[in-house]
Amino acid sequence: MAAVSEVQVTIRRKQANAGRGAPRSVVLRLNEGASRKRPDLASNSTDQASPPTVATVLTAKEQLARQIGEPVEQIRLILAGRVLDDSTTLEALQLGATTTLHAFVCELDDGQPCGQLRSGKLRLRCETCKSDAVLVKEEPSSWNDVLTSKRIRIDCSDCVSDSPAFAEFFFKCVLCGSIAPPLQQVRANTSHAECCVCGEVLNPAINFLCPLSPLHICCLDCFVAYAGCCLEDRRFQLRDGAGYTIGCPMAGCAGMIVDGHHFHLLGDTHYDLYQHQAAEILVLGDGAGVFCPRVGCGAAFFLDAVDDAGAVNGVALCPECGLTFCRECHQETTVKCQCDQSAGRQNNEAVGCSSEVGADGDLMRSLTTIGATCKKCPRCKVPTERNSGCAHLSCRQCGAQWCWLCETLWTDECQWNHWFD
Amino acid sequence: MSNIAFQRLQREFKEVITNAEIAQTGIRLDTSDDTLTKLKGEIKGPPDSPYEGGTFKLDIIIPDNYPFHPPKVSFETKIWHPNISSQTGTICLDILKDQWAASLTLRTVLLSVQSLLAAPEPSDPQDAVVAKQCLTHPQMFTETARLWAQVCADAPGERNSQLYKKLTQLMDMGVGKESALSALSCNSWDVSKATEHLFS
Repeated sequence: MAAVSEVQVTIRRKQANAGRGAPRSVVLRLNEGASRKRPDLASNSTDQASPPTVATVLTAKEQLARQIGEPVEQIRLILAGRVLDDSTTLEALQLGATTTLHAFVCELDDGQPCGQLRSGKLRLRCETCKSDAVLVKEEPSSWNDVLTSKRIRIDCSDCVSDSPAFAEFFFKCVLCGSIAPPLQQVRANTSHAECCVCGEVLNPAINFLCPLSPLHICCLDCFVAYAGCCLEDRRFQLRDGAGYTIGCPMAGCAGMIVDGHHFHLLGDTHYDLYQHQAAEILVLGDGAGVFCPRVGCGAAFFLDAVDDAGAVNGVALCPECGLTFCRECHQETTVKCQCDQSAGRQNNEAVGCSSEVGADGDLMRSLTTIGATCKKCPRCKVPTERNSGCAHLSCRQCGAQWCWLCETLWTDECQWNHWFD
Repeated sequence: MSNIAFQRLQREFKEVITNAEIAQTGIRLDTSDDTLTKLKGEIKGPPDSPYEGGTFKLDIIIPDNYPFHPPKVSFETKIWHPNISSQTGTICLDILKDQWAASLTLRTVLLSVQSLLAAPEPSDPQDAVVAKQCLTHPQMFTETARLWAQVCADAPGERNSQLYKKLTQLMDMGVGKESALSALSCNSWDVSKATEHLFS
């Protein structure tokens, strides 16, 4: 194909806050950066400092940068859906007279995650060798084909093995280009449903995949507030197939968030808290885990995994803050705790164990107050205060349902009999 | 109060005030200050219950993170009901505790409280004395609850003369209306026991 001297370029701008701007077109004069190949124009370009001998994508970008007044390092040239490498020669691109190049002016570095909720571009590559030089043998017909692995067969030109190759689908952010997990429960509110928290009709919205109704949606602001509140209250729960998650805010609905990536919408601090709590719940779920009783620590860990030696004295050591406490009553102590020797042990009194902390008057008074006003959750032993309501308590730390009167896990007998004892 | 809470409450108020259907169910909602954190509710006692025709006032406190936390609702009007404390007005209702959902509104809460009046659940009691009476002496429970509604909530209908006589007897001794009702009801309408209870 004969070399062309001019090519149409459509330019779009990508900005952190504005998304894509409207495209504009320019005609890029390809010959000016590679003058030595064109002797007839050589005399015009003697002022170039070091003109390259071969026209490449880089020289084209430099020319475009001069024409539109943008820094060359922010320009990406795209042909047939692929970002062109700087070293590729223009000749190799076989540009024709009707070819249109696409250019993006990016204010952000490619590959630097922008941390925002954005639209995604669906891309695919070979699952085995990650090459994108592939041909799909069949078109995906549903989101299941895209989101589940080994559904779509491909011909991969870079794979050496003979075993069947499959497509791996992934999403790239339209803004920053980083590969990011799709949030499949953030959806366009095409049915104009009202947010079930604030009642506004907003788009996009969180869909809880509710079996009851597709109209159970929640706007993004309300979702962030709702999930943040649930996190701080420890109202997340372990659910089959979804992990540590929250349900639809509609009363009695079984819908829920099925992919924890959605909690990234809460911001980094809350997402860290989410992961921390999920790990703790997992630890406690096995029955062998405990929570560190120190206020502000609350780390969850397995007793036997961290502290075999301590078992002799019945003392546990928190691997996170270093607190030592009694394995039985969870009071802070460094020596063998006397709690098991006091007849009819009063869990809610700081007996025996507090000898080591007596020096600190404030701490002592705190313990006295806690001892006088609180009872311990029978499962996780966290001191609990009942400020109102009936005797049926739901532990905010471990989720246990327990009876304030008999200090055991809640039973039908508690429900009824204790009221008349 | 958060923005979401304020927006939601404004919306809920509009709904309760403008909707004629809601007014027919005997539900009212009022503010008691500018901040929308303390509200007053009102429900009519449901038909075919001892509370029929009574007007019951409720205190509603809106928490900061409403609607993600339930409103705190209690009876301001004294009421004799197994799931409501006859002393403090505290209500034992699942949707006001762990079954609360952000999609529920003050309207649905007031409707639920209203239907709790129609269908007491003595097996999940808030007031043990009332619950025991409700299960063991249902007739006495109904009469007692009706008299409370007539005396405290202006419910219409003829008062049970036997019980009312005992009440006036105590009130003549200088005992307040509500204390007298409470003392008699808690002591199976035995005047001497109630007197002992009040003056010991």
